[in-house]
Amino acid sequence: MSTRTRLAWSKADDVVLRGLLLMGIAATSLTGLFLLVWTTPLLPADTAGELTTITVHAPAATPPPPVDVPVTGEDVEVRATESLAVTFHDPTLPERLLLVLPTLVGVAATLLVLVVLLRMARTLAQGDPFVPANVRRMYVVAATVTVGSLAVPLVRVFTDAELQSRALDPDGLVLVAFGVGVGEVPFPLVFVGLALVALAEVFRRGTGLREDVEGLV
Amino acid sequence: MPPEEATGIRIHLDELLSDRGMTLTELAQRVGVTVVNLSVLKNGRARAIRFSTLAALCRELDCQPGDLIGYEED
Repeated sequence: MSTRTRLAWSKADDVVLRGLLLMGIAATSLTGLFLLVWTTPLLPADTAGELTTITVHAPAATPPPPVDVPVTGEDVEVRATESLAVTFHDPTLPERLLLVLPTLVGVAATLLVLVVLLRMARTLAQGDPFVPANVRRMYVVAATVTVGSLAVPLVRVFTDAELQSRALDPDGLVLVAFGVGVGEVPFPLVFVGLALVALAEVFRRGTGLREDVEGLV
Repeated sequence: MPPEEATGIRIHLDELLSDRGMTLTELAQRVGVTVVNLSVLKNGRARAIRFSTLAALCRELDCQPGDLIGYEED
């Protein structure tokens, strides 16, 4: 006789889910707070790690640096990428803001999603997730993920261009192609956002059905 | 529960129970519906009724659906 394994949501799962979301909110809030404080001169520039470095495309005339890497495979070529890493060791206040702005946008979007998910998790724990407020929350999550995944690389293009113009001599450089490259868009995240829009619609219809059944004797 | 809609539908369960000398609890047991749900129906807060519930009520109260449900224009 075969036994069927059933996955059932328990109270322990509720506690774990809300605990994880709360930890995520705390970690994201602390990151956001650190970034905000870092935009002021209160913290030394090197505390932000890689955030002080931007990567820009090298001008077309720049020869790629030589690469000395032993190759074992046949028909394999190794060459350096044509990009420049520009590090701001002592950024001014506006430069600090420009350096952290894309990350700050991402942190704000993540925080919003986590807070909304926590509110939804609370209704699940109370045993009644199919409420109109959760439909709105689902759409907020879907819109934030979709818009956020497009907005962060877009903001980065603008901030990187501004930082580049501040750091490099425009006469010596052909300024970077100004636009969002296809490679910079996080397509998996955009896809997740669109899938969440579909899920929000499923949720809306489920809530409608629930309303129909409510009051049925 | 969502706000009540003014449908004009009236449930005459009170009168039928009174005429037959039956309590709501007794009827609920006979029909197989919870007292809470039957109370919702009796107080006009129900938004819909299953055919199976309606048939069971008619059977136990020995009445027709029209005796149980009426319509009054507001």
